[in-house]
Amino acid sequence: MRNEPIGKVFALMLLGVMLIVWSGCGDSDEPLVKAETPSEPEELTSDTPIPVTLTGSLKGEVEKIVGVQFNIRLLQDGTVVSSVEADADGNYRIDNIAPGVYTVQMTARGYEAVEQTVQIHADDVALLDRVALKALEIPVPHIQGRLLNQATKQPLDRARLQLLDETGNVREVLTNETGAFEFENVPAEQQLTLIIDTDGFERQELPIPPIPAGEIATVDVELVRLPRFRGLLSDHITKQPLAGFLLQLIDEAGNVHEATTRGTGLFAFEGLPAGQRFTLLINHEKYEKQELLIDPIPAGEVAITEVELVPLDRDQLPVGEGLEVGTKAPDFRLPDGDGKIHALADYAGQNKVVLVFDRGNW
Amino acid sequence: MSSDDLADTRRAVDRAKRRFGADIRFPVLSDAERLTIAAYNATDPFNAQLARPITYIIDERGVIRWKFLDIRVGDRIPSAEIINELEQL
Repeated sequence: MRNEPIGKVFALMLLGVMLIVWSGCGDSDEPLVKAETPSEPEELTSDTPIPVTLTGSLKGEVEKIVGVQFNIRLLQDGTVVSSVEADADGNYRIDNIAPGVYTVQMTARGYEAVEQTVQIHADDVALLDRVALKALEIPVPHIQGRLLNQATKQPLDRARLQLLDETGNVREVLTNETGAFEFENVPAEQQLTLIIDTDGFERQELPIPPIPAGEIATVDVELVRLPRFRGLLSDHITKQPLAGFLLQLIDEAGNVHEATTRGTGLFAFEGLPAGQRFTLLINHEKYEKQELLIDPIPAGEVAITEVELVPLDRDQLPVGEGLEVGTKAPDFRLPDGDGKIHALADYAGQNKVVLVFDRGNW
Repeated sequence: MSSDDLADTRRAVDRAKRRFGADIRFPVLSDAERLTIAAYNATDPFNAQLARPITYIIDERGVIRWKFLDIRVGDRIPSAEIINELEQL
C-alpha cells in the first residue's frame, strides 16, 4: 500500500466577475437583462430531439489497493469522452458509449497509468482484462479542484479541462457530477496552464505555479456564464405563441447565432459574446419582417424580451367592407383642408389612430 | 377622411366649427383621388365616388385592431364607444 503524501495545498480561486444588473423598461420589445439566479436550470434547453443511437458498454477491474481511488477515462482520438471512478473493489463500468474504437486509461495518484484499446459494439458489453497498477518510484504532484457556475454556485458536470505543461504535453479530464476534477501525476516543478473551455461559459486559462513533488494543488474555479438571450415570440393580433420560427441574432462581427421557437413560443440563445450589440432578425413569409437592436448583454446575465410579429395577409373582404382586423394598415399621405400633409407613419410607435372614412359633401 | 377635394374639406371643417362653436382638434383629410379609400377597402359599393363610412382603430404598430361598418346612412358609431374600444386595446 502506498500512502498519499500529505503536503501543502495550493489553493487558487478565480474571482467572480461582479454582476451588473439593469432593469427593463416599459416597451415590451426592449430586452430585460437580469443576473442569473440559483433557481435557473443549469442545463441548456433545446427543442432539438436527441437522436436515438445504439450504444454499448464496457466494464473491467483494477486490482484493488486499499485507500487508492482509481480513475477510469475513455478516450477517442485523444479526447476524453467519458470518465468514472472505480468502486471500492476496483470494478468499473461505463455505459452509453457510441460504437467505435477507444482507449481506456486507468490511473491513480502515485501510480503509473495503464492504457488498453477496446472496440465497442452496439448493444454489447466489452469486458476488459483485470489490470494492476504499478506504484511510481518517485513522488509526483497532483491537481484537484471543482468547477462551479460563478452565479449559481452549481457544479458544472462533464466540463472539459486541459492541463498544459512546459514541454507542450496536454492532459485532459472531465468534471464529475459534483464538478470535481483531478489531474494525477503531473510534472513537478513546472509552470502549468489550466485551460477550461466549456460550452456557454467564458474560456479561462489559469497559470498554475510549479508544484513541489508529492504535493497536491487545489484549484477551485468559478466560471462566468456567457450572455444569454431568451424570449417569447407571439402573434401581435391573436397573442398566440409562434412555434417553429427561426430567429437569427447577428453580432457585431457578423456572426449569426440561430434559435428556433418551441411549442410555447419560447426561444433561447446561449453562449453569446459579451459586450456586443446584436441585431435580432425574424423573417417569416406570413409575418412582417422584424429587426430589433439588442444592447450588449454583460457576461453571466440573461436578457429577456417579448417579440410580437404582425401578420401580413388576411382574408380579402368584399368591396366596401373594409380590411380585416389584424391587417397592416396601409400608409397614406393626405392633405387636410389647409393643405397640410398628414401621414399615418407620423403616428407609428407613438399613438393609436382612429381613422374615420365618411361620405363627405355628397 | 372623405373623397371631398381641399375646398370642400375646408368648408366642412368651417361648418363644423360654426355648428359646435369650437375648434376641431383632429385633422380632416381629403382623398380626392380615393386611393387611400380604396386601399382601406372603403369604397362605397353603390357609388365608387364615395367612401363608405367605416371607423378603424390602428395601433402603434400600424395594425388594424378594431373596425366598425356603418350599416345605414346617418348611422354613426358614438364617440363614447370608440373611446371604450381604445381603452380595451
